[in-house]
Amino acid sequence: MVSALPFDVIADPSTELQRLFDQDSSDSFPARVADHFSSIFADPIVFDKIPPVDLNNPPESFKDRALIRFRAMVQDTSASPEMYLAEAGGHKYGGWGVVYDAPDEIDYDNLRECSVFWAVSIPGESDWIHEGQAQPISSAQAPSQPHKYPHPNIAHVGIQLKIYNPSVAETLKSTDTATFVGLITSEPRDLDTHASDAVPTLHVLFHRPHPITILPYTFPLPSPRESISGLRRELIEWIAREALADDIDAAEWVLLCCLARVQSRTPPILPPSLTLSRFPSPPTPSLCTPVLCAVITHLFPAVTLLPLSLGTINDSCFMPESREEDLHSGWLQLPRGSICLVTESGVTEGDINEKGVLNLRATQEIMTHQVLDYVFPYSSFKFETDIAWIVLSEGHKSAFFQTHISIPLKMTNEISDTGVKERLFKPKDEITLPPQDKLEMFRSLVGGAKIGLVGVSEDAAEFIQEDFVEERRTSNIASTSASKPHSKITADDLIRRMTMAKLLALSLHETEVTVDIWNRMKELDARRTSRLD
Amino acid sequence: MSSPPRLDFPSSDNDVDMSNGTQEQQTMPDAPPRDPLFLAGTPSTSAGTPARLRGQAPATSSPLRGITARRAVGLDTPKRTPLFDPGSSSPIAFPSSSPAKTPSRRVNFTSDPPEAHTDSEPLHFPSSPGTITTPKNRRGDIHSSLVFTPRAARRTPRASDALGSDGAHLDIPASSAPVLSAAAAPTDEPDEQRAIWGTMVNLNETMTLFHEFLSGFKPKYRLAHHRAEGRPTRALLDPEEGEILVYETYMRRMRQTGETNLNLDIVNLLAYPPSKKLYQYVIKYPQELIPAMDTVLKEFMLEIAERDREEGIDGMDGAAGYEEIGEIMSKVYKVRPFGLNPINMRELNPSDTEKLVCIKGLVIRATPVIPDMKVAFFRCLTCNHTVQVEIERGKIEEPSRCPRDVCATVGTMSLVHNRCDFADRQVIRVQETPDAVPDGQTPHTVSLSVYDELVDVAKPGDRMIVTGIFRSLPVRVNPRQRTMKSLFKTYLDVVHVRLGTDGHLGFDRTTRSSSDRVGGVGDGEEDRDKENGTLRAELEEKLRNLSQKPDVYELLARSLAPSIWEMDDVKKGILLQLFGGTNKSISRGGGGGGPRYRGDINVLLVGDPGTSKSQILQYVHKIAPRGVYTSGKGSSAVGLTAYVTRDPDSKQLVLESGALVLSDGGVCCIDEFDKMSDATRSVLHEVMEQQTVSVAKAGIITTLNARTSILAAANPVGSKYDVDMPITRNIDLPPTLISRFDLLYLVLDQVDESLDRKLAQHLVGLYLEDTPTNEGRDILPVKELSAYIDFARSRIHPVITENAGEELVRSYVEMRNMGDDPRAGEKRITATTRQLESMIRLSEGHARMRFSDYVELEDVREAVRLMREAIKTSAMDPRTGKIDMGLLNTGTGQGQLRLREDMRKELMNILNGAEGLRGVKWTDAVKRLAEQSSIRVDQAEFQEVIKGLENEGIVKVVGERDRRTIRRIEG
Repeated sequence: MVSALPFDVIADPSTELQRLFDQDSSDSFPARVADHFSSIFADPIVFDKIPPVDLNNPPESFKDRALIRFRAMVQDTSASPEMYLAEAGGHKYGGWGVVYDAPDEIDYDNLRECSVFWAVSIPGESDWIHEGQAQPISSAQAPSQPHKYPHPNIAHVGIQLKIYNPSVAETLKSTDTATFVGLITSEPRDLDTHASDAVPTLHVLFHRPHPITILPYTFPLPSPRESISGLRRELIEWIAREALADDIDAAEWVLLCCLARVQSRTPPILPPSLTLSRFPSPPTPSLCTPVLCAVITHLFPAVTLLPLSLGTINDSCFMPESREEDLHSGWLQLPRGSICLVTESGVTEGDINEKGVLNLRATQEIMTHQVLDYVFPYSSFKFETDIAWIVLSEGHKSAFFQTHISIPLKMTNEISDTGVKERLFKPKDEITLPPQDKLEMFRSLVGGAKIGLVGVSEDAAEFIQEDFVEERRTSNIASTSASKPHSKITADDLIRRMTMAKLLALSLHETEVTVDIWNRMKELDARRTSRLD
Repeated sequence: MSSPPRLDFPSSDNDVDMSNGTQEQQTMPDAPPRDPLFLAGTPSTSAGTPARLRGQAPATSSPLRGITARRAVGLDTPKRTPLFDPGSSSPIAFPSSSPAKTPSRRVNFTSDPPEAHTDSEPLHFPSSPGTITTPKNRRGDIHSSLVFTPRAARRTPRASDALGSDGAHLDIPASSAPVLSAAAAPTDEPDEQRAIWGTMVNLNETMTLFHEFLSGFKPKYRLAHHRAEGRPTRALLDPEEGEILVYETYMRRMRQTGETNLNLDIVNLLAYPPSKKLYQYVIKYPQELIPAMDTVLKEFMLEIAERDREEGIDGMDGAAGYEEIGEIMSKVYKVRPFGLNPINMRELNPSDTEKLVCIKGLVIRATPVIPDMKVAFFRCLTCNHTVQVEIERGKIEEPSRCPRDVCATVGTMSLVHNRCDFADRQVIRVQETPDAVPDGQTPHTVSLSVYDELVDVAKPGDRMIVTGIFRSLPVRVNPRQRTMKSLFKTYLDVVHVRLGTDGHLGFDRTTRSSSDRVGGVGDGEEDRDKENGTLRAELEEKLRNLSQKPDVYELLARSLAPSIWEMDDVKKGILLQLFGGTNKSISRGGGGGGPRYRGDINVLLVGDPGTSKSQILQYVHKIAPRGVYTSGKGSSAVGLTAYVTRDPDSKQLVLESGALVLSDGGVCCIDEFDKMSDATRSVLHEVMEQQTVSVAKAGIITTLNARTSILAAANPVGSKYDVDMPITRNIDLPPTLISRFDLLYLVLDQVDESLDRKLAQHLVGLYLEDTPTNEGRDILPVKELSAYIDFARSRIHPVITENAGEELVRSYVEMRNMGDDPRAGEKRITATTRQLESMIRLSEGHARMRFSDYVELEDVREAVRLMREAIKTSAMDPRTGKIDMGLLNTGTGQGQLRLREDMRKELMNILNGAEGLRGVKWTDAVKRLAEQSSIRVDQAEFQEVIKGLENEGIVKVVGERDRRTIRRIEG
């Protein structure tokens, strides 16, 4: 049964707000507003009826105080909270962007606080998440405050959020993603410094946080083990065929690294970063985007391409930086669960300036520690990130970054060099997509794996320990007897293998690392190291 | 009451401000919309409270009327309904038109019958400003300048009969009422209305209470208060200490020093039973209470002065006494309350509006001092009539015509600059400190307005605790419209500032000149334990207890970096670095004082990758005072020192400090020291010994202080430490720089089966579950450790005892003698004066760590032990196993020198043959040397030898790379 209420509310949200205020004007009003509107739109179908703000429907296209929804990443939470009068004259609600005549005298007891955030459309969001919408047209209108979006020169929507529910405001952090529902207006930014410029402002009624996969998935999949294993093989083969010139091993490593996420901070169990070395340079400078990016984008919800060049390194911002008390975004301000693909082919000879050095350092810092410094005057604040990294490098290792894992791309087929290049850099509309239902299955496989939990079985743990001690002993003997210093197995190697074994288990939708998976992992790793020599 | 007569003879009394009649008129216009805080050049009156209050009360000559007038203006309390003290029965019916009853605070002023003022105007003419002797009690922070004239003048004659009893004080309003009614001034209101507008708080009563507090508070009340709260208290030295009249002592000191600010710990108000409610009042109604307190303070100052004069106390007898009293009369006294628990900036909420709040934060920006014209002085060019105009909405409204009816010429009023009143004002942006920001949140910022003495106290980069009044200003959508979006902006009017915050370490106090201290009596260092230091006393007690623990050294070292295993000596060394030695300077000598000897200890960690060096640095950065963390890879010389930039506000060139300058008085942690460029590193030479940074840029040539300890971490050259090579070959750092580090530690990775097993177990254990936990151990939390170090650094300045001195000498000689080996005929350098200095600093650090005022034998022993351990690992010549500081100081050890000499001799033997003239192939020479030698011939060593020979002109190298040949030069 569909009630008319949601449609009435969409048509005229202000009246509903006033009606609610008439019932309850106490301190808990903001919380009530959130509950009430949230329950009206609890049904996903009804929820989808709320007009979305995106590139096709920029905020300017809505009439003032229209009800809209906005899927966004919180970019900046540093603006000082504002005070508003909770009750305007004549028992009218205050806040939510209402305008009224200034009362002769202000009742300071009625002051409430609202938090002011800045939100932008999710950086690197894949097209397939938009519910069957056409390709976003490039909007003619430049977004307001372009410096607050991580990617310079990419069309996006940026909206100021005003959140009246204090308990919600406390929980939202920078780079959190959520869909915000509220009334759109236009208001000046930051009362102290930017008094003049009005920006689109969303007065939030309620919001829905997203998981790191943006869309919900399940783990483990209910399908039998064999079918998952088969699906996984098909997926790897598809990635290898379309994006990696049939290099199955490389495709598997890419997939595993894309599935990784931060599992624990203390002790650190962080996603391993991957260098895909010996990756050829593009055949023509115009086609500089490897097709791998498009392929991953078809599978994962948020993928960002960071094309390194002297220009991007030296002149663009990687770290968010607070200038004039306004937090400017940087390339690396990405939502949790993002995948970042770095290409080095655009870098030419030249100087890297101080800013460039800092930028590269920040990138390295995320790869190794998954923290990003936001630069504030006299202090910097570390923010936790959760980004999976794939670096494409022409050389035998990345020129700029030290990654956890490095695997050289190996062309199995005897194709000519240019042929390989053309395969790796073909335009994205030349990708042979699997049937839609297969693609959906791929997505639920990787989506589930991205949120899954996995442990280590007891006998596997025992096995792994013994394995490590034994290996270290033999390698030590080898290194002392041989004149040439032999690479020693270190704790880092153990950590890397453990991490990869867990990812392998996740990709198979297994809930435990078993001895079998451990051995499979070691084989995979051995094949990789043999390629390195 | 003595006030009524004064109405009649205004000119005879100092207290009367003659010119105010006119001002009154000027300030009459309707309430101004409030100014935006950052409006360019907006002087302070902006700050949001009705500026018109200022100086308007003096229209009435009676001090009581000062209050009534003030009330008439409408006080700034955010209350609507006036609730008068029901207990106070007024003999006079309130005039129904009384503005005090009008609930609106803004409109009421216009509704105030202006006749009163016009009536009084003739009295004030001719307004000659020269007669003003009593400064108006103008405070920028509290915009209402309650111009209470000191009541003391009235009081003193009464002192004998009224006995200062409360009852007598309470009588005042009643007795004054008839007089007032006799005066029949229409605006006069009975004194009973001196309640704080809209509350039950009787202003008169609170003033009496405050007076009683000032005269009666003793430390014992504070102690009792603590006991009641169940907090541990400090034992008094003797019972008399608890009986001191604290504030009387302060007053006398203020009189003697000419200080006008009294810092008032409001916890004392709470502790003193009669004034208990003042505590709540001052938090709730600072706007009213603080000016009232100012008045009481002045009264009390006069009272004490009067008493002292009568008693003929030294310096107060006879004419000097009167002079002193006159001095006090002319001064403006300010009470600066503090002592609230600081809250987080993000906890400020609307209910705090107009209340006294206390926050802590980091100064990120401060405007230059803004001269804030408070009163403009105009003179009529025709008749020389003068008028003073109060600032209004940041503007001075020039009178369009001469206000004198006789003259009334239009456009003749001209500003006389040097007769205008100015005050200092500054707007400061304060950001939350990193420790106060919840994880994953960005810091918030708040604007502060500081005035008068507090201007320029805090500099960007300082941490501070401020007490102030929280203000909210409505923001209009359009300044010319009356519609608003119900938005308010907020800021703080600061009444008290304290630099450095308790949670974290402040700056090293010896590095700041005393002029940086916030003025005022009542919270000085020396008094801290005595009356406001309850928390401090408690903390101190705790810290002292801690310092008595026999294993405090181990405990502190363990707490430094709890997650890192082993490495005890490294932790101890760094711990002593945090405590630091004492800074010494030679006060006499050329150029106004000799050099300053650094007490800062520098530590360098070198080791294999993955040995948690960076982690240690991160820990230290969190604990250290003014700790700055930078990575050598990412920092440039400019980033470390200073750069010149244009200030966004003033558009002037300013020098912005880099990491080293920012960490002045603290610890600068530099990671990846080896990856630093040479240019950058060269800066450190100056910093580490001279402790200054010289800047010559954009026409600015200056030397900045960088009195910082440096904790650096470096990786060995080949990323893995080669134990067969001396340390200088392992670290790619100039020996001159290495020698500037007091301690140098090698952190190496070793293979051991049982350790490996443990490690594997540990690691696998971590991966067993998805969210692992840490086990707890006996360690101090960072905050406590920080407090401990801060306390030691600021309070303990150990002096070396004779015993310790002898031990230092002995150890030094011994260390130097370590190089003496009777079997070898060579002399190695094992210790230089640098090492002696390091030893002294380390022993001082160790004594500080024990909270000991003297450096004793055990301190020296531990310092020597640490030095030796460090030297043992770093200055050991890997070939001979002997310690040789020459390795660190010049880069070449004695053994190495001998080796080179041998090699040179052999090489010459080879070259001396006939083939020497033809030239010997480089590789052949190496091979032949290797055949003769029992140890491997080191390519680098060989190269050094050749280079030496080449320089001496004995040989010549021809060709490149593998084809090089060495040829002897004849002659």
